[in-house]
Amino acid sequence: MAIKKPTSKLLETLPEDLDMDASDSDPETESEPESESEGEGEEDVKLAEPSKTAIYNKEAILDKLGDISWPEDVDWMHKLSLDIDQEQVVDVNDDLARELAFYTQALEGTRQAFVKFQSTGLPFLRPTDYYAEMVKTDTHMEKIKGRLLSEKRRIEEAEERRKARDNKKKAKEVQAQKQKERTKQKKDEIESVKKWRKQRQQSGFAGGDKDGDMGLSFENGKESDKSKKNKRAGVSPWDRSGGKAKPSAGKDRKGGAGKRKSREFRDSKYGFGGKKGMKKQNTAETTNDFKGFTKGDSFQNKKRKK
Amino acid sequence: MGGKKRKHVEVEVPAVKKDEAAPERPKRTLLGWKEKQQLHESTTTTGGGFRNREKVLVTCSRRINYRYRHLMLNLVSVLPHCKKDNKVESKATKGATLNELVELKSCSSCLFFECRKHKDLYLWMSKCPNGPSVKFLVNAVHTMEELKLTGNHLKGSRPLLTFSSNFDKDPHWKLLKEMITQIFGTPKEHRKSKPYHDHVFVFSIVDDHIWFRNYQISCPHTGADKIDRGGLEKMTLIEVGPRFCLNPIKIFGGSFGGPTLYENPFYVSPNQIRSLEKRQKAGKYAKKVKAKTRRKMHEMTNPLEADEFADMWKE
Repeated sequence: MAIKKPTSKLLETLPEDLDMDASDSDPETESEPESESEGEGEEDVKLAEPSKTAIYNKEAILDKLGDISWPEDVDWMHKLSLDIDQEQVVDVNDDLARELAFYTQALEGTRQAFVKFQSTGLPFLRPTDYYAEMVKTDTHMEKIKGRLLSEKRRIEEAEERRKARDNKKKAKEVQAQKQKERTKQKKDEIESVKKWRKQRQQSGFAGGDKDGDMGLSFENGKESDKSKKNKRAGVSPWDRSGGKAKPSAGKDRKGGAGKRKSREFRDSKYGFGGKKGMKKQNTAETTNDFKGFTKGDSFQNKKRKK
Repeated sequence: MGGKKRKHVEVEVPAVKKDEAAPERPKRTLLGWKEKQQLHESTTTTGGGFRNREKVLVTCSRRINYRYRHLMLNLVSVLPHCKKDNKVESKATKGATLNELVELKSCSSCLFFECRKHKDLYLWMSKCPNGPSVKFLVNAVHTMEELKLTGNHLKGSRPLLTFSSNFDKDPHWKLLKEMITQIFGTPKEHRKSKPYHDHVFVFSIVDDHIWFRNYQISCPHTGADKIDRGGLEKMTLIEVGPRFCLNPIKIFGGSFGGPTLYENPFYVSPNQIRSLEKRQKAGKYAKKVKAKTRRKMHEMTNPLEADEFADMWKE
């Protein structure tokens, strides 16, 4: 039968004299590709040689198979085994293809099994309300869920960050564009004024100012942004009251009198558009106002001071 | 189902003296108990009389790695018809010890995880009284605790076993297929088994290795046994784990010993691989020295011509 031969010891020496008759080596085993995927590259060639001394006792194997097999007429329900055909040879090193092959094998098997179960009328799938002990604990499943959620969140955050970055870039571009436009407009305005002046000069100041045909672009009531900033709300440029005079001053007299040093007071006095120096000049109302001159004490005081 | 009904009827008739027990006990245990008592249960006449009494003993050697221990525990939880035993110590008379242990526990097959050098895992699969045994080298182990394997299934439900078609090509693959079917398939009315089939095992031969996968069957459906065609198409499989890859080394005629029936011609032991790698690395310095001497020889044999401009800058 099969004489036991020692397995390959020295892989680097190629044994010249192999006894091939000892093993019933299947021609298939020799032509099969190298199976060791443990990382030897160039030793593949050397390995093929000594491996031919392997034992392969087919008859004994089949005998044993007969020994251990269950009787032939056993119901398929006991075995639950299915044979699925593998269409194409899968490359071991291509992980995705390999896993896909396994997946399709399992799916095919399940479908066939389901068909069989349906024909015999037995329950196959677990109903959704069947609660029993599972092979992984609930805490473990929680961990898995947590991990999946955190991954999803991470991806979403990355997406958001990328979008925000893109938006910022775009916004910057838009702003640069606007700035350019604004400067261009300013330039245009100045140019148009210069042109108008030139035209006026040329036409010899004739035609009068009322001829509003010059198309001055800045006279359409539009104010530039800068002048908007320095304007205080509720104060007109010709106002001499210092911003303190409110249209409804009658109501809040105490507050006005009490909080003299308040923010508003200070703003009106020292802020933009506050009273400049018109204090000692007469307005229409104060021309005929002799309030300060009624009593004669001030005259005596002045005399004393001297 | 038909077989069950028939047995129930035939059993109730002679069981007159056990009237109190008969209607109270659930059908399954009554059946089991009755079966042990009555030896005239025919096991050969019909397939319905066959009863799978497979019991697997799962043990490991000492100094086993944590990853392989978890793999073993995963297998214990997936196979409800197994018994886990303590670590087996002896190295020399391993076969005899294991055979005795299996006898003691009255099991019919055994899965023995042997870990060598804290690095390599060998799996012995054997049918115990006098059946054949196989030694595998286990690679690419992923346990169920890995967070990327997200599926889950009932503990103890009977798996569907799928084999790729190249298991029928060679006798040794056929033998392995039979052994795997018997060891990994849960017996039908096992005490700890649960109804419904919600997971499927995949054994497939790629590149002369047996790859194992375990998937959960998830399918949207309403009733337990009614799915329409559309539902069948929407069936998805989610991997539960564990995952491993078996490389058969030898098949023996007896349990944990006996005449060698098959040797894998392409098997290289991990020790040899490691020594080869080391030898390759060790040769680096020697190769460098050799290259140097070779260069010197070459230079000596082919002398350069005198350079005409060599004296140009000399004073």
